[in-house]
Amino acid sequence: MTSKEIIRVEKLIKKYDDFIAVNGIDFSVNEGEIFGLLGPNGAGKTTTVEILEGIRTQTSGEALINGINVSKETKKVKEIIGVQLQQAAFFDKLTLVEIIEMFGVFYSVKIDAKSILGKVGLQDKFGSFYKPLSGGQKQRLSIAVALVNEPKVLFLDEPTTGLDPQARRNMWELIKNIRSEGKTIILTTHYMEEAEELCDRVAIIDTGKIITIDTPNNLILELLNSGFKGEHKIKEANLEDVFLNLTGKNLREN
Amino acid sequence: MKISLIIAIATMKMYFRRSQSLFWSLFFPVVLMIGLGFYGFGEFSPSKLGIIDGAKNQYSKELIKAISEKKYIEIEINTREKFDKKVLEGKIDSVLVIPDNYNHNNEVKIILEFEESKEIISHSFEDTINSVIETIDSENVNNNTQKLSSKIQNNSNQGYKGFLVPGIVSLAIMQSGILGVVFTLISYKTQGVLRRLQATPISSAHFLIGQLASRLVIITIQTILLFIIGILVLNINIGQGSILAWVNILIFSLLGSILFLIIGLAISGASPNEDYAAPIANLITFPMMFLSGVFFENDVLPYWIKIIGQNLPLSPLVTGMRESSLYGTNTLELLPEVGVIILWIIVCFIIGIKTFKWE
Ligand SMILES: Nc1ncnc2c1ncn2[C@@H]1O[C@H](COP(=O)(O)OP(=O)(O)O)[C@@H](O)[C@H]1O
Ligand SMILES: [Mg+2]
Repeated sequence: MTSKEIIRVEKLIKKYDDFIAVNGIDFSVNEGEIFGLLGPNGAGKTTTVEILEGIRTQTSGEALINGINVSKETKKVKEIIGVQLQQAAFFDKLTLVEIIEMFGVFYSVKIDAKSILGKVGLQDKFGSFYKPLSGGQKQRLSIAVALVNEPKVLFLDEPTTGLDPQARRNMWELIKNIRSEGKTIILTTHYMEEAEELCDRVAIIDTGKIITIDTPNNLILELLNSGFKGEHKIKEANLEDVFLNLTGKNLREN
Repeated sequence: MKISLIIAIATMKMYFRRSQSLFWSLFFPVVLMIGLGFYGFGEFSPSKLGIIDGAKNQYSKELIKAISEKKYIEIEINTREKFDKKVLEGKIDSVLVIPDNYNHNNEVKIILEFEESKEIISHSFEDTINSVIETIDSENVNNNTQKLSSKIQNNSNQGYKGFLVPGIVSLAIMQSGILGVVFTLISYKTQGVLRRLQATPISSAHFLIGQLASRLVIITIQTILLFIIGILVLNINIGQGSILAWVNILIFSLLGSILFLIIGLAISGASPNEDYAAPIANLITFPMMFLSGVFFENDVLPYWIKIIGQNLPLSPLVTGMRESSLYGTNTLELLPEVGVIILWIIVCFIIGIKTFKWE
């Protein structure tokens, strides 16, 4: 893996009136990494990534993507990133192919809508409308749209929240496939097993501050070395494994 | 350009895919048009005789006074121009023309003009006027100087229907312009569609222009369909058969659409959700529905309300539409209305820009 830096965030602060949602965050992300922002609800994850995406403006501090200053050359940044928002929707009475093609025009790129939809496993849904899709399908469409401009960096804000275990695992596979194409991914989540499964490095963030940044493995080792003992005896399987074993790993939608 | 175009096409596709949307944009206007038009609401005014006093001398005044003393005739003295319009609207049943040289010394010819459909009432006018003339002549030394002749014209009057249809069409432009945009944009806003667009490199102007363009097309279709329904069902005729009238109608339809679409954009831009947008939209549209002369001439309103009504954005649109479709007035004469609409467009555009929020 190369270690060329593609994202740099320095002393980032965001206030909503008097409330400080992001309180002086610094981190950098290398090309090709899956970088996780972990934290409980309200920690400031969405605020941070949406500043990087150029949708919100910071109160102070700087964010650079591929060397471009996000708040100064927002449009340029938007052209090289792909975005999946935590809260967003698409035009309800357009077919998936029409939606993808429309976003293709927004980025002035020639695209094959069907192959992009195929990539996220929506090949059976070309002609259906956005509205009746299941939650997992909507998330995958959202990722397909984010891939339209062949972005260098992909932002995924809680892509698996609200999905059932099968759909979550399916999403993990999809994210790994996208990483294997060499894209850098910024992923926010509050599921620790998801971070452990996917992320090369994670930043744990709470009340607007980064508490620590490292690889998931190092963080676990560090904790164990400090003398920590888990509450439970380590089992070979957990309830989710039971659930998946009984109900199968195949996606349940349609 | 290409971006606005694809947004416009997509918006139109979505509009026509919601099978109800075209139906509702036509349903209420058509019900109003047919209901009020057939019922002939407004046509029950007493029979009215128009008088053009060409002579304006003591003799003509004496004649008019004598006619007006007949209780069952209501008269109005006015110019040829005004009566041409009033006859079209069915507000005047026939017109008595007193010639310039009217006096009691020479032989003069007075003419009663009326349209075929007003023949019965006009014959009773004729009898009354004849008896008045006889009385005047008998008191006079030179007997039998006055002759009343009648001139029957082809039907052009459309009655209330002809007055109503352009009013309803204008009302429909306002409703579709404001409500259509408000409901779409507010739902995009609350669902997060606008946020998602913000994450792309397109500018908000692209998106708004696309919205505007698609709705201009939709409202133009609506205007044409409503007039066609008026022609087929209510038998109105447009601009006395002049093609120019259709051009005028399209000009006013486009200007009116732009105006109300911008008002709609301003409302949806300023409101965070439908709890704000719906009352504001109603507050703006409701007074115009009744004060801008859609259903009746706003002369009947109390003075101050009338002045307010005349200055609302819908009023110049109603006037322009009505002048074009009913009288076939040419575009140049309607420039004041065009000007007022453009002024409103500029005002609303500035307010809209200042208050627009994407979230
Ligand atoms: N537009 C906003 N106005 C005011 N407060 C906000 C706004 N957006 C987020 N917040 C607040 O900022 C904090 C961080 O929110 P967010 O970044 O969404 O957290 P996370 O994504 O980690 O759950 C929360 O307390 C939230 O209520
Ligand atoms: Mg969040």
